[in-house]
Amino acid sequence: MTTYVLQRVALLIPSLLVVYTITFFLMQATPGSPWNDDGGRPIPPQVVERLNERYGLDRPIWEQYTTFLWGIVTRGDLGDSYTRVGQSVNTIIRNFFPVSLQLGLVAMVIAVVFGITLGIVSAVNHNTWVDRLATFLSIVGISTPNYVVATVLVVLLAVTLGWLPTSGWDGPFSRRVIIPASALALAPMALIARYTRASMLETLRLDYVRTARAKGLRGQLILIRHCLPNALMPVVTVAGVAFTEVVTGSFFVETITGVPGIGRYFVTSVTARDYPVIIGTTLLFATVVMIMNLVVDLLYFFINPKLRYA
Amino acid sequence: MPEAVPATLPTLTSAPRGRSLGQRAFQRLRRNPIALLSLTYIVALILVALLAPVIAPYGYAAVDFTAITQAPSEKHWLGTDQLGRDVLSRLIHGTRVSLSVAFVAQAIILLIGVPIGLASGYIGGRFDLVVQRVVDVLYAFPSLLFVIIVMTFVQANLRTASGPVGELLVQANRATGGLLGVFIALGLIFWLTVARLVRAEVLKVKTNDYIDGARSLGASDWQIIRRHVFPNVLPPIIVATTLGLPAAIMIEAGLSFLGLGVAPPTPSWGLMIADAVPSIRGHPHMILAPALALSLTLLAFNFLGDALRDAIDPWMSR
Repeated sequence: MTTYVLQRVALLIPSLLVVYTITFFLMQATPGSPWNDDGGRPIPPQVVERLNERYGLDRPIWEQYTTFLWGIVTRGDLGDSYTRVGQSVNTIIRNFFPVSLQLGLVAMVIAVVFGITLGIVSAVNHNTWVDRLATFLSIVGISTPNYVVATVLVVLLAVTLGWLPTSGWDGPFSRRVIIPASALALAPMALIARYTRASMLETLRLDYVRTARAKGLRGQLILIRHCLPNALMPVVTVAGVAFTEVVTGSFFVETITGVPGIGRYFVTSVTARDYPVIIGTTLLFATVVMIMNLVVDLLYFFINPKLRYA
Repeated sequence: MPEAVPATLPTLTSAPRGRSLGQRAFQRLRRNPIALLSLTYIVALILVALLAPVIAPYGYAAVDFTAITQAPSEKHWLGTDQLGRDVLSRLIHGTRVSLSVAFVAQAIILLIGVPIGLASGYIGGRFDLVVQRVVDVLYAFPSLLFVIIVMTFVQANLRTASGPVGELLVQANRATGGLLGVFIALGLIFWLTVARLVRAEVLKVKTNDYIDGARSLGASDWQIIRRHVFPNVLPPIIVATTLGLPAAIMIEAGLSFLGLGVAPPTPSWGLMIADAVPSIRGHPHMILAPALALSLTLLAFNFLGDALRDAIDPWMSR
């Protein structure tokens, strides 16, 4: 078990190196430089030269590649932002990432709680109108992009009814979190509901459930103690994937609801060719993805005793 | 070639016998009202896209500064946007963008992904290993970030490419309002998913006895792929494609929303939503129209895809 975890953690490093390399060279192969924003004011060539010198962009590509990598490996230093003068990428990530993470966590709590409940209710009432309605709603949830949900919620709850503020961020426990978190939560919630329903249906048919019923256990006890833990196996995988998508994919919602998260920052840095920010954010998100995959695999061990002894 | 021995296939009790897979699937689809409704909607949407210049009351880029951000009226059924452009007309022209992204990008994805998946699964060996490594590496990437980076890369190159082919591409991209770049970027990224799916299916099919049978009767690899492997991997490809159509629409709208997709004034629904965000407070009509059009379209494609999956593969849909 420990060796397994260590192996997986060790695998993080080459994977991150690959992500770094691809991002670096894709950005190099993208025309345009940080200093000539198309349509913007032209910058005198001497200034460009000085800027290139200051940020090491006049060196050969290989040197840039290794210098930057060396900085990350030895000092954990992701370099300085080109557009926010004097700010390091580390600072930017420290300022913006926690917001995205908190928003994502709130969204995931909503998605998991409601998704699993909806899935169980669906499965228990299999093939009734409740089930059909829930299935219908989950397809609606999966196929509505989160920026559309965010928009509709803002128009409805904030503009028309005036119940909630239209935008802004006050931390994960304020009223402002409701709209962005619900918008982000809808799709994963629908997905989780779907998987919970399917695997609950499968579990409800199994022999040991019949045995439990024959013993005279109460229906709810069977449902929660006997079926749910087994039914949650596939749900863990979906929830893990959903979590990374929620944390790394909140650009749209952050833009619409004015949440100062890292997602919004990433998009502006790509158009501005702010290489250190792009690489830093990509590495951060890749780490989140990989750690999340590891967590999901580890959760399997705890949920499923069969795997623990295998 | 001697006649192959007819294998007895397990037949479903509910399935009418002696018909092709397509006929049976269609039969099941016909009994699903939501799927039929979705299909009708999609056909109507295709007609709207084809007839866009005829139906639309105004041009999609026709600016009228005397009528800015107007609420829906008799003259402008869905109102006007911040440049006085008719929202309905832009919505109608936007169907062309969404549908062409769905179908063309998906075609490119299939053209790259299916042959690679077939070859990688069928030939195996070193080729398979290389393909699998590439796929693994690209899967380590956070997907949305990868889409954004590749999109920026493709669009920037399509602005500055040189040489005879390059200039042609630049011209084509400009003529399509940036759509060519979207097609290429989506193709470059999502062939992966298809190749992976096809490979897995080929590996499953390959172990069947009838493949060995065909080979022992002297069939060439090409014949086996064409006659035995491909028809068997087709149903999952069809399902994946149907569900890939709304995915492509969603990504295009998302990228255009971020200002990375099509170039203004091309009327992408995503771009229209983005344009309307600043005035969400005062003029919610501007944002609701494209948002609802987009959601309904995605919904229709997803319902149809879901129903098609149930229809094609009854075993998958318990």
